[in-house]
Amino acid sequence: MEEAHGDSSKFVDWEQRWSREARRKQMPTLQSIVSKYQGAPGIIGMHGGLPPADAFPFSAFKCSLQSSSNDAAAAAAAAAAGSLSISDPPLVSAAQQYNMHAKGYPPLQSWARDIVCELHQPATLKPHPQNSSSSSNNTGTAQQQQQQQQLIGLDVAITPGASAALDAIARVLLNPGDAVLLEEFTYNHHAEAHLLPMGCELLPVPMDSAGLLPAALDAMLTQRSSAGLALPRLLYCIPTGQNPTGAVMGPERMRQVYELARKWDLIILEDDAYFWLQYPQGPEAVPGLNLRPGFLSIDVDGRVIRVDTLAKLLGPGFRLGWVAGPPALVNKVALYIAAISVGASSLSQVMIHQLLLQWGRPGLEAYVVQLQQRYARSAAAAEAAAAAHLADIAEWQPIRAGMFMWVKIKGEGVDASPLMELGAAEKVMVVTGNLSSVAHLQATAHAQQQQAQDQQQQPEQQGSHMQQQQQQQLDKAAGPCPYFRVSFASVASDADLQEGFARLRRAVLRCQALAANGAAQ
Amino acid sequence: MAPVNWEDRWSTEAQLKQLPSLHGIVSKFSTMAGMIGMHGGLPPADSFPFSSFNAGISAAGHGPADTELQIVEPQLVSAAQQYNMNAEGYAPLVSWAYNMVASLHQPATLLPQPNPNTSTAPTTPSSSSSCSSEAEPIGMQVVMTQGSSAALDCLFRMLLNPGDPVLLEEYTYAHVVEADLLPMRCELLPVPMDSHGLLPAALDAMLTQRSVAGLALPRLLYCIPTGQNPTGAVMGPERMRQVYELARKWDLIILEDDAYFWLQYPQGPEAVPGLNLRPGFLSIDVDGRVIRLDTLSKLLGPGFRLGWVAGPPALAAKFALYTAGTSIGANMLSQVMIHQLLTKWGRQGFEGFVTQLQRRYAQQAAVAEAAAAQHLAGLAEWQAAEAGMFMWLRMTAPGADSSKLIEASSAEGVMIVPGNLISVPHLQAAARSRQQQQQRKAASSTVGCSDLQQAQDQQADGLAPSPYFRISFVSVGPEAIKEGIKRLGRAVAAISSSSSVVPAQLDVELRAAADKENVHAKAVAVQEREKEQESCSAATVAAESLAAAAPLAVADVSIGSAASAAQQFVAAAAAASAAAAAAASSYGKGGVSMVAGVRVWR
Repeated sequence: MEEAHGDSSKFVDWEQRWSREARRKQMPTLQSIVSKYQGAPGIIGMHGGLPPADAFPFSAFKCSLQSSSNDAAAAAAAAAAGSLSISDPPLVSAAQQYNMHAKGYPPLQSWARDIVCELHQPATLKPHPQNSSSSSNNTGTAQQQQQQQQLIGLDVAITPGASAALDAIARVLLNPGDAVLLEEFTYNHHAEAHLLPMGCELLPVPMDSAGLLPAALDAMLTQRSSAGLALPRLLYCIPTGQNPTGAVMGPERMRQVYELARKWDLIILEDDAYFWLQYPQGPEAVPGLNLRPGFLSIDVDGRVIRVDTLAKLLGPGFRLGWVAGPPALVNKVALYIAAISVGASSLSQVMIHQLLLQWGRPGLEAYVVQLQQRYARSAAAAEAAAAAHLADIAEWQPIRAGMFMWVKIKGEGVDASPLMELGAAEKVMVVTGNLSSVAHLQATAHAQQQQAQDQQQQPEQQGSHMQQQQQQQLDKAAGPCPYFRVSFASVASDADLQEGFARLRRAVLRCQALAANGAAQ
Repeated sequence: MAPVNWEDRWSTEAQLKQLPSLHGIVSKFSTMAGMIGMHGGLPPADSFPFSSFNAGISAAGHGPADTELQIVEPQLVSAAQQYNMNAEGYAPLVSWAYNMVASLHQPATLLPQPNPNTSTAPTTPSSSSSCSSEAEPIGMQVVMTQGSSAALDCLFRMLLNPGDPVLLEEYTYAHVVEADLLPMRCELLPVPMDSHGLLPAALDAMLTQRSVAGLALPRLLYCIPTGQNPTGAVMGPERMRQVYELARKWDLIILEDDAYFWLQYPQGPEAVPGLNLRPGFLSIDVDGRVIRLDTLSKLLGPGFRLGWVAGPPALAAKFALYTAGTSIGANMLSQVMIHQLLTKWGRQGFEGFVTQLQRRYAQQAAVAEAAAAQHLAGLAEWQAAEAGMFMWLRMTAPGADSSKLIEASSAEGVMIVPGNLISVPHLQAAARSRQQQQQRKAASSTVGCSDLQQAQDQQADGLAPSPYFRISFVSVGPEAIKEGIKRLGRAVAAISSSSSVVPAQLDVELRAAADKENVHAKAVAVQEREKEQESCSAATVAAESLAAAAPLAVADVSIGSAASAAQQFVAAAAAASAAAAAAASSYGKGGVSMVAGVRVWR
């Protein structure tokens, strides 16, 4: 039955996917000449605007490495590494020079491609399943057969972090006003910083603890289709340790979602920031690099864009990540990244590549293991603290990955949004569900627009009273949201976690009391 | 004149771009004492891989004798690997940049606003009355960016809607045109220039013409005031003042991309200015209509991806939002390391570094000029470089086409950048041609002869080939410069001898008559010229008179003597009015004003 889907017509033709802006975005002519003749043998390059290598301020870099763990293996690996020294003049210069390649510093780009291939075994690198069946049922045109025999392929481009990648991808694939599917609770930054300012229509898909619900997704699209509404072409999701719900999509859920993406011809944009932070068995048996792969692993059509970041692995300060997907898409994204920012910082790229090189695979795995252990231990401590303080008034799912615990306050019609203020009064900060709820974010954006228009019409009226009124109205419209997100990873100690949850209890009780009062009135 | 109201300037997207709700709440509460923060998504500081950073400082730097930079303090080491917490950038570096901008440019927006009602009243020594006669300063803020390219992308998205017209120098930084403005479908309005940058009279004439024709007026002027890329032009204070006055008259925002600001050397290598630099437009920005872009790329190195935007607070706040929204700001490793370097250097060490860089570039410029005098005299002409990285040359053979230099010079073993790749009309025509090609491809599946087609399309656009080309004299050493220019001499000679000779006057009239789609203001090609200081003012007079007679036809005419100046002027005026007559009928169709063909670079 699945084989029936495997015909070549499902191969994504990316040329049909570009936004208006992306169709016009071309490799700058000058840039292509500069890279063509840069360092070409026998050519004296008087064309580029590159500063000479010996004009840079730094002559060498030397960093010591953290022995960040009480785990013996990791500590041993780190101690063996000791320090990182970059004194080879071409490397020192490269760290301070322009990024010459749209896809990033080639050694790092190639490292990233290798790790993606190894950990995700992308289906786009395997012969299409149709190949075997087409020989028995030879009805396709010559062109189709040729296409089937060619691999779709996979390419990788380094980006200055995942946020810059998401911004570029949104501009590559979406026109202002386009509809986009996303999890009903999501990374608010992508909605607020990218999609809403583009005027996109956000379509929140209901979810459970294993991520977005296939049946609900199918129903939404069927409904839109029969209503004659424009169908979305992009699904944004966070498959691992989802922000904010912590949900992890299992392989079966992924397969169901992927089949729907084929049925409705959706591009899947998987933002897998927490991929490295999987710990399904708790701190005692962390997986290291033996990780549940992403959508790339089943992407027979070349319809998956994978976004990785080093922010939650090595550190956000380096501003490094990468985009992996079909070559046509990756080339266009690389063009955007080069056009927008000339790519990620060379300093970060060279330094991190040297670190990865020095570590080798055992060093990387040891680092990943100690990180997973650390997060798993914090998660277990958070769950224990929650069990001690919130068991009777809230519920939550066990944490399997990432940085977040997703808690639901018990009780009829409870709204967690007052928890920001109530928590602050108790000196504990969490993030309430409404701030990452797509419905709320969209309603807030509409209200802001409305307010801006009203203010233009009646400039004499003061905004703050109106704003309060509108906030109340829109909270009503989007409904009460009983959830809140706890970030347990950056809390200093288990004792602080216990104290934090003790304070949370007092705040949650007051939230419930507010709801009860509201109901009584 | 009232200060600029930036709320009226935002693009549709920028109006919708608001501070994420989470940011507001988190920053409101998270700094309270005793708070247990379980809200953020920050990795713990002690989980990062590096525990210290050391760097050797190059001998090029003129800091203290101790030439090792050491970053060992845990908070700094952690900050270098953590998220950028502040939308404006790493606070100590922001404050360094603010102080530097304030000190070197003395922004007029930091001065008290003169009150127009009382400005004529005699000033009294009493402090209370002087208080009432002056309004609060507009103010200035600085936001760090991951290089000026990222800043430009954000600024264009903030200030332009797709299709909006934009003013820019006729030869400019190609990246801005190809990577930012053309994909946004902006209408590009190239402003004629001379060796001091864009020509005020021409700018005024273009805007007058558009206004008369009822066309949408541009609201943004992009320019590179120092060591302009590619022409090397440096705007002097007087030219800046004239352009600023026009910006006030036409209510334009000036976006000054001052990447080569640090690389000024007007007196050559023997007397470089150090930090005593000719300031930018900020220095005269009484209205708060200037956005200044600085980058560390041409100063410390492009690999750090660091720069900053300086401008009025309303603009800076929206810009910070954009930067945080797209990329969460510049990378912290660079910000912390560069700030530590600057701190270690102090102002003296910093000035030492700037001085040796200026001297180095000035020396290279002098080597390039000497080599050009030896190998290109009679084949090309140029101005002495006074700033930046580039020398701008014009092939003197009639009808010379510098695009042929790509092949000819690579055959000789040297590479330069031909003018058509950095000319706004040519870039715009190439983009149009690509689009037409795509449409043709879509219509019929036959592919091929795209180069020929592109050439035909450009001809259909009425563009004459560009005789200009750009040499970068900084990326290779003095010996390579000499050898490169020697090779270039052979390449230019080879092309020049094969160039078709078209009588300039005939060319002008033919094109003016033939052109239906675009408007071409033409200058007369002057065959024999010497460079003289007087010719500059003569050219301005000529340009202004022409502008008055026929607003679009502006010539910057370079003239050898007073007698020939008069002669040239008459010829130019005749040609220009012919062009304008042809132009008048076609302008209403919404054609883009272009200055093309055999232009004269004074």
